[in-house]
Amino acid sequence: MVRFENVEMRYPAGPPILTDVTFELEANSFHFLTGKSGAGKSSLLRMIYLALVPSGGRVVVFGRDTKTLSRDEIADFRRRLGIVFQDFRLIGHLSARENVALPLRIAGTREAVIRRHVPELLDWVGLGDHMDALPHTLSGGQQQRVAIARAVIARPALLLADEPTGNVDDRIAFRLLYLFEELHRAGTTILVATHNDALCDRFAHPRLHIEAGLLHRVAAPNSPADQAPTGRVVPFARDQAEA
Amino acid sequence: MARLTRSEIAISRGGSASYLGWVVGAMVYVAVLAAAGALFAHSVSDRWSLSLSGVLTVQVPDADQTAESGPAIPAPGAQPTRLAAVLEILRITPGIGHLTILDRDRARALLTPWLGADLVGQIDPPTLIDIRLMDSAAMDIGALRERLDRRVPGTVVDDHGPWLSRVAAVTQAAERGGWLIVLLVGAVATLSVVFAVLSGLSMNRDVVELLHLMGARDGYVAKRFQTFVLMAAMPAIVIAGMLAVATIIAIGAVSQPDSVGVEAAMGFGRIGGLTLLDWLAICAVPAVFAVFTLVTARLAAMVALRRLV
Repeated sequence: MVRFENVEMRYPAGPPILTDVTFELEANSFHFLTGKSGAGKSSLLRMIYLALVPSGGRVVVFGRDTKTLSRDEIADFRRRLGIVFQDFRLIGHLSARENVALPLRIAGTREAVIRRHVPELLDWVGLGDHMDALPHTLSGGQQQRVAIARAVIARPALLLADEPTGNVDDRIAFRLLYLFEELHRAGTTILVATHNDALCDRFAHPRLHIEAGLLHRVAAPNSPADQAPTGRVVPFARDQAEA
Repeated sequence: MARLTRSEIAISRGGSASYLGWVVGAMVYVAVLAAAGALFAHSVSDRWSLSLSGVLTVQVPDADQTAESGPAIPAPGAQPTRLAAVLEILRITPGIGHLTILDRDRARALLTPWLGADLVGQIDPPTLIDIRLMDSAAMDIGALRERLDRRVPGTVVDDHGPWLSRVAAVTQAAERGGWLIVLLVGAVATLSVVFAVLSGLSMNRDVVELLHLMGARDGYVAKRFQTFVLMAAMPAIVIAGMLAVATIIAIGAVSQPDSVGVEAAMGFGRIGGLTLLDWLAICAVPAVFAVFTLVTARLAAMVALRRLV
């Protein structure tokens, strides 16, 4: 699904961020991407969603070398991705409902379908009562869930999340991860960048660890003591408590 | 349930873009008036040349004195008057259709409103012969002039050429000036649309980048800017167009009460002196502006987006 071949990344000024990175994300895998802040986690994610061109090596996504893609092909590729940004990047003057609807609208989905799916998903992430709220009236955790709902509404094949738990406490972070687990079980390939060791310990998935410009694969902990419960999870109850 | 139709792009929140409606509206108003002026100038020039081409005027001073006999023609008896001599020549000249003779009294009557009876009484106007040509091509004015001058010295043949060409030059300049204004104003309006789109793009840079990251093609983003420009400019274009038409009709109405004689002949009787076709052209100006505005917005957005990322 995603393959890096000897990828090097350096910005014009300064030392290289990534020197020689080679790895592959198989379809329907779940990985954590770890490393100190500034280690290059975001750069690596940006290369996958084609916002950054590697200075050396090849990045292959969905079987295509990203360098060979035309502008419109890049757009079409990105529709198969879901991205949860570190700072959410919700559009401030649009309601939660309209923010979540964006990827569907961009993909040209019929309004009737949008009107059905968006409230369903918002309900599922526990924001059924806040559909028409503007982002700034929502708490950090709620905004995050809007961002996640937006990332998954179009059923992406690959979900990239950049520090999705950076701004919330562990309790909510765990809930978010259960949500990702659910999507993973439904067939989505998932890559979560985080520096929260507690998450990596609790959820038994292999880690890609960046250190000193190189990437190491760390196998999943052997004893998945605390696997997510099976069956359909409703990770968030309709909440008032959190705000 | 609320419709999900709000645009991702928020340009109207301040910035120069919110003045786009005013700018485009003013431009459309000026353009429509300029177009009407150009069309009017064109129709004036048309009517003048239509009514004056194919017309000659021969002035015969001292019409009732006897003509001196030319060297070729010996004088057998009573000499004809100068007027008779002129008419004789005209009769055998090819291409002439119809003659009207305005004798001294009628010429005086014509001049009286302009100069006053006292002054007219003191002057001795020439007799005028108004000639409608049957066939302008067959008419050799130079030869006629020569012949008349030889037989009846002092006659003047006026084909209105200099006067007509001056009218034509003036109306043509007015017409060209009008269209030039339309072009200039169109260019300024186009530029203001470009700037509105560019400033909108830079104000919404984050959103545009986000839309791209979510898989939006340039066309999708450009359409958002087109919609914005349409919403900002369209009411202004319609209102300005209607105001301009009202202005033209008002100008026509003001010039109407005096429209007798020359003005009536020039066609002031119709609204504003313009034909139905002219009116269609005038109404097409705002429509063309609207289409241009949309196309410009799209092109500007597409080009700018390619440069952006």
